[in-house]
Amino acid sequence: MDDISAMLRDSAADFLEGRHDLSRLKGSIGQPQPVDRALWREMGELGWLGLELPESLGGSGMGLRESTVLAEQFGRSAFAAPYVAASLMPAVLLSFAGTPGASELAAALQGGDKLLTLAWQEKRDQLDADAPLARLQDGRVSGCKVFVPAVEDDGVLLVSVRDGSGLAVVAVAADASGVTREDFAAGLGAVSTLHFDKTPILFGASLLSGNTAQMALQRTLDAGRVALSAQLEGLGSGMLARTLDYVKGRVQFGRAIGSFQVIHHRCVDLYIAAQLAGASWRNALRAYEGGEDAGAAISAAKARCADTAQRIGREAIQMHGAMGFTEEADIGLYLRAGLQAYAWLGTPLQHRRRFMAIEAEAEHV
Amino acid sequence: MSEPAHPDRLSDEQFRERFRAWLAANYPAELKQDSHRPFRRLRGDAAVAWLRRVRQAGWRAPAWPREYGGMGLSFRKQLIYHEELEHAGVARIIDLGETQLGPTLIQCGSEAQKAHYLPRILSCEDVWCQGYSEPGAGSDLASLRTSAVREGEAFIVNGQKIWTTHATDSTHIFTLVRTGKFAKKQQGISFLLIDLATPGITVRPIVNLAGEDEFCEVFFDNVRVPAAQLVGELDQGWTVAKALLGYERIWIGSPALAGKALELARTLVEELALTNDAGVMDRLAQLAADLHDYRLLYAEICDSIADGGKPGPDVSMLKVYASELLHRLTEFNQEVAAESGGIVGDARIGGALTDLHWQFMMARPVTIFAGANEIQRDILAKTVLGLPAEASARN
Ligand SMILES: Cc1cc2nc3c(=O)[nH]c(=O)nc-3n(C[C@H](O)[C@H](O)[C@H](O)COP(=O)(O)OP(=O)(O)OC[C@H]3O[C@@H](n4cnc5c(N)ncnc54)[C@H](O)[C@@H]3O)c2cc1C
Repeated sequence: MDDISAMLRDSAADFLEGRHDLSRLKGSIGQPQPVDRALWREMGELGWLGLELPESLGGSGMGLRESTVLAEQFGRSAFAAPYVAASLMPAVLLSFAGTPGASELAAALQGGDKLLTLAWQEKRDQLDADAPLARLQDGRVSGCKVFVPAVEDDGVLLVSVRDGSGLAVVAVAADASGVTREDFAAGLGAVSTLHFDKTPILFGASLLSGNTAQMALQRTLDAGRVALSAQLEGLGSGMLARTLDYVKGRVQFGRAIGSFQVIHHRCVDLYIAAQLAGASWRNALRAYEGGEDAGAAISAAKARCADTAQRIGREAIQMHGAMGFTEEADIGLYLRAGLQAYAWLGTPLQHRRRFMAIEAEAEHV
Repeated sequence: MSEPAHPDRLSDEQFRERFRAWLAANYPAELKQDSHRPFRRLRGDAAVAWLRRVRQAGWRAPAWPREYGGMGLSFRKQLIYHEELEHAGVARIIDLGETQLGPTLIQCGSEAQKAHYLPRILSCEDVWCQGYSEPGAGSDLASLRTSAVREGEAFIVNGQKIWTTHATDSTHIFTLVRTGKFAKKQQGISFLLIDLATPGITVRPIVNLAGEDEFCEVFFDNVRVPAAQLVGELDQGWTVAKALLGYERIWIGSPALAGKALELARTLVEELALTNDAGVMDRLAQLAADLHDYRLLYAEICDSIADGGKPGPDVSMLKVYASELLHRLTEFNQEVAAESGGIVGDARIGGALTDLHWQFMMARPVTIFAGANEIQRDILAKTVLGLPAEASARN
């Protein structure tokens, strides 16, 4: 790990230690949770928001590598802030845009004043973003987007659409006319279904269009998947760490339950699973940084890390006994966070299929 | 119509038809298990209202002997009774008075206890919960410490129980308490009946991962319990409590919940239009075949008991398999629904109203309660397979 990454990791750990409290999320099962805006602004002050923005948009020029350091730490603590959805992905997307609108949005993102979120998905279980049905006509958007995370009343939606000539991405105010929205509790936060009916776009023009829009969306999803994989591995490792602590302390039959062979073996298996997940997303990160042909590596990682977090979560509950089934214990919140990240940006099943398809294609050339 | 009177004179199939018809005519449609609440439970007033209706029609307490007001059904007819509840989608009711305390009193209680408590259980005047587990005594139940000290004609109880299901809906609690100190910790435990309205008792509900406040902590602070509330001999409560364990593990191994989860799985693949997805359908086929074969094993074991056998230690395998199958089914449901599986709360999937988080979370503890699966496997290894105990002996 390089110096910058180590520094980020340590400051994230300090921040979480002091400012993050899982009890805030308890007692509200099934109610969509708004983003903690004060915390979000603090993250902006720490320089974490919009890490990937290029210097031309006022960014630091850091990249996905640094973001994965944060994402993994956030996973380890089951930190609910929508870092991947509302910081990393908008930043990657904006870095492809050169319009004045993009600069304005980049500034709002970095300061933590507004939440930006990408609205690309139109149906359940979707992997690709290149053929939206949502339309842009005369500066107005019509269509529907689903499972959009981190939508806040005063937020900005980055919406993929097709216009007369092809793919485009436009910015829309979340509270603009013609937007109807239904929120659902999901994981530790919320996702929204959004309907647009002739909703006016911001800045009077698209942020991205044509091939650039296509490339920007692809890179944004790729980056999001890598960071989400890191976060999922962090969730899994965090649950394992908590479980190891628990089984060391919990005494039954006059001994720590962590001394029973069944528990030994299970914890070791979960440890191996977490190590595999780490190797997989770090490989995906390198592939992403290499530019081309990252698809197989990224899909392998997203599938692996999602499955691993679920598996560790389920076993962690079991090893906590009845305590693990309570909302008071933190372990269930991790599992719940994992339930949402499991399928968001693609399920393991779809990603494994994509991984195979790309591999098979590569063998044929 | 549909009177169960003299079920002995009915053939098994006639009995099945009668009960099926009665349930179809009487069970409220809005309380059925469905894709929204596949493991729906009734508790509190709703449970009492339904049980009173069941009682009035003569269908209450299928396993109790008739002299105590039960139906006195053969084991085979009891099985049919449960199958029909499942078939009709009747919500589960945790009626520990009927399923646990009643049979315990019939076996070990005094005449006075039987005469007083059994009718009140049948009428739901008294609703019972089970106070065994403690913060320090879960799998290692025998290490329990809640104490009962004899003082004249009463026991003074001090300590704490935890994970007590439905304590807030109950009027009474049957407990295991420590009354003596012996070399073997299973000795010196007594089985004590306690009215929850007694001064010194505090009940605090605990919210579970599905958002329900089903289980509770129960605190005892100098609680005065009449000595006549002791069941069985002093210090012999462990034996009293264990008397029923075999039967409990049979009902807990019922394939009913897994059946409901599989129904939901089938609904989901239809509504999600996945019936042509070979990968998904292979997984579903595996689960369906597992349930199919499990039902056969369950039936074989139940048949042998119906034919006069006693539940042996091998019934532990029923609980292990059924609970883990339920896990796998609920995981399938959550995973196959993709992003909808991450929604916490109600969500429409096609024409079905679902709550996939609820079914996933409600299935978690089945491998933990009533003897965690790790403990059940230990029992099977030792008593059924005859393997030597772990080097570091317990207790
Ligand atoms: C939903 C629910 C409802 C319940 N309702 C009631 C109720 O109404 N009344 C009541 O009295 N109790 C109730 N219980 C408590 C239940 O009986 C206990 O949860 C159970 O006995 C396990 O104890 P524990 O939770 O303390 O787990 P622990 O005993 O602490 O076990 C934690 C983990 O360690 C494992 N473990 C423990 N010992 C060993 C070993 N020797 N070898 C290998 N692994 C081991 C366990 O299998 C488990 O995975 C309920 C529990 C739940 C979850």
